[in-house]
Amino acid sequence: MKNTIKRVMALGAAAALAAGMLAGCGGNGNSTAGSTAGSGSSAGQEITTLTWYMSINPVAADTDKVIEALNEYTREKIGVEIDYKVMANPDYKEKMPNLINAGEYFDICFTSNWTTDYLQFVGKDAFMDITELLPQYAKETWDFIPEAEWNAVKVNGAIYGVPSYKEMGWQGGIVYNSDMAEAYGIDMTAVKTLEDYTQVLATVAEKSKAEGKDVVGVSGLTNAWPMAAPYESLTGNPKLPAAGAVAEFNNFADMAGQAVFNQYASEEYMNYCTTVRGWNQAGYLGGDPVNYDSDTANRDNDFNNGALFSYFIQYAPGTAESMTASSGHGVDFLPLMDPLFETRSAMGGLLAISSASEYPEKALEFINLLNTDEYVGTLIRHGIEGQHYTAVGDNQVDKTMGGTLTENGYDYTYGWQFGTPFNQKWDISYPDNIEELFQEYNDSAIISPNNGFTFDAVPVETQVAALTNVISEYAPSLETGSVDPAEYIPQFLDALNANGAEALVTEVSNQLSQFNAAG
Amino acid sequence: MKQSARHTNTVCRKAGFVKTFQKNLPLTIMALPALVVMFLFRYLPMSGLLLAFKRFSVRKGIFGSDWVAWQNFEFLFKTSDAWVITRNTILYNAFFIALDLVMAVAMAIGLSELLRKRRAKVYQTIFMAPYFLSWVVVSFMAFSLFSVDDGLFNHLLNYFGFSGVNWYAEPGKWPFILTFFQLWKTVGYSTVMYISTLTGISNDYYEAAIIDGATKWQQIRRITLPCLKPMMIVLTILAIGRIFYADFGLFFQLPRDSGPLYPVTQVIDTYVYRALKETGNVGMAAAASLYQSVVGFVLVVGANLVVRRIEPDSALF
Repeated sequence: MKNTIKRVMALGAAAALAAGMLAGCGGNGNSTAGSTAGSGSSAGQEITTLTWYMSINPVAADTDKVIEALNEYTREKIGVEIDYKVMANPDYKEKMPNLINAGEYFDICFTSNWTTDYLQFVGKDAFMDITELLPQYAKETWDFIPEAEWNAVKVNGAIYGVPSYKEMGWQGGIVYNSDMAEAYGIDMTAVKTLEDYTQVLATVAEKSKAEGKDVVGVSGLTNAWPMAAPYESLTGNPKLPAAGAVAEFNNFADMAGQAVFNQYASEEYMNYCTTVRGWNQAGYLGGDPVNYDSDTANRDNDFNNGALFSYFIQYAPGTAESMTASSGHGVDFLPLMDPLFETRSAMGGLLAISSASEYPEKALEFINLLNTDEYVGTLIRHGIEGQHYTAVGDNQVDKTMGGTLTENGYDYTYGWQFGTPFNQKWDISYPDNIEELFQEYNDSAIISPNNGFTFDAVPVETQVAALTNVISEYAPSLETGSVDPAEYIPQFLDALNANGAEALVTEVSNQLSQFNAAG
Repeated sequence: MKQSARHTNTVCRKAGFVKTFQKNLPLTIMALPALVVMFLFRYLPMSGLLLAFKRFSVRKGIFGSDWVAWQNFEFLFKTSDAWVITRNTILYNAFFIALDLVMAVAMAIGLSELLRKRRAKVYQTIFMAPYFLSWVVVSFMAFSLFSVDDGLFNHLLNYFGFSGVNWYAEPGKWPFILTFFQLWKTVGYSTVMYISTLTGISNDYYEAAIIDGATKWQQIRRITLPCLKPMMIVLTILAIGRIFYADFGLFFQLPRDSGPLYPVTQVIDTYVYRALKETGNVGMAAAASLYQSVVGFVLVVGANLVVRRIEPDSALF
């Protein structure tokens, strides 16, 4: 009886195109039939069609051609055809969560902590637990990706997605115009900390003014604070006030003995804000650093034209070289920290399998190809050889085909969203030892003490909602030096405490001690 | 005897119903598509309101998810900003409603008094144009005025020897800026509504008044305003129903999400957006929206009740 009612309602909703609201209650079986009807008659074996929702920017013009080539290969190899549903990143971010919430059928989808949130949808039972299946159906990938990555994506001990194995962790620092640094006689090797950088900015301001130019010294400060004093983000969100110290960085002495603390209450935060307040008042940041930061197209333009000296970024190997190629002047990178690998680092990109998928084994076999098969990796990143690129040596491609190709119909600068760059060839604008650079980077990465701990925000969701508002009210202006830290940090802390910062810290430490006791 | 009388009565009523139905069949059929659409898009999705009381799971669906009682509503009240949010939402909207009413009526009367009708049409179109701009576009227009480095106002201030103002960090100025842009954008539209009512007023009234020697001011006060009153009441009641919904574009896009301005720009819609954009909790979003709807419903009914007390003829229902 109950089922009949549900079915009738689902039917009515479908008619109204409101299927989105109700399909989740049991109408799933119907929608799968269409998308998975195998076309196995022609080939000897049964062909499985997998629906793959992907987010990549921008959607390349020749996507259909490339997928056709891909299908030809995968049909032979593993008996799989891909129904590829690709969206540009901004569209995906809006549409995919709704599609999942609505119970739309898919086999594979892209997920991360910046689009279609991995933890959130694991919490909503949207993804399949693949812990058991992985070693069986994607053995090469299982062996190839380091254990730290697998640990990081575990939720309550179970794996729900295959992480993109790229650079391990994140490394904060400053990219700068090395031609300008040289012209002004600046010695970057002397800079070890943020305070040291003040002298650099002073020189840039002084010398550029003497030339009659108005050069902004540095931008990107809204992301700079965790780079100045790196900490482990125990909630997965570096902005929420629940940090853990990492011994290798020798910081947060005033928080010693606390496994979880509010990083905004630390001495480091006060120091950072005071330093950038000085920069702001000296005019090194332009008139309005918050708005300047929000317009990255303008920033890139200024950087290329020499109107901006440097900015804060999270660095990946090869970035300086490829920026040199695109900016028209020398670019170098000044690291402020060693790479740090923590739970959230593995969540930059994952491929997850729907909990409703009918072919999880096939889906894993396909993900395995994406991660280990060189032909598939290069095809999905650079397109078809002879049409979208020419091969250079064994490991590189030329996306301009020797300068003859100006409008390339298929090329992605970054291939990691598809799996891993380690089975993909690189464009010649990157150094030819790029894979070694990645390996070096990954070897130097510090693994955070609580790697693998994922915070379940459900018990404190109310507090997180309120705290998010407080942080976006105070943090951007404090961290760009737009307001006086001596006056505003105490206000900020009061507001955090009034909205449950302590409850959050307590909840995180409880969960953390349970995690450590269990593991 | 008694029984049979009752019996005939029922039959009669039944026949009456069938007859009425038959008589009105064409009208009923005409209304049917709208009724179906209304049912499908307005009433059926209301089952989604259940989500406000549930912890949503994709696999379990709307009906199967676990109940959590009022937990989803807590984030609206457990913040230290709860008072600021409510105050901003209601006060801004109350001001907007009052100013919009006064200005739109004044402009409608002014425009209709213009003798050259062609010119009146031109003005009317100009005033209405901003209504069709999206808030994102308006926010960039405003940014070109208020930008610290390149804004028109700061250039002007510098030109006359004053130092520039960091517009996006000074909350004191924003109640005025927000009100200005809101009115600039919406007054033209309301004006058109009132003009359409004005054109419906019979000229006989005015001619009679002129013969009796009424001045222009007397004509407006005694004829135009009373004729506009029903329209004013309807539009105001509808606006009051939405007093707990803030215009997200106005309060989020125009101030460019600037932190220092939150004390004067944080309203319920922006708060919910900022609170949930990270966690994406469907249940909490449904809770916020249900809360707004219920308050809006109560206010509409309440406002209508007041109107019915004072002026039964103008009440909506």
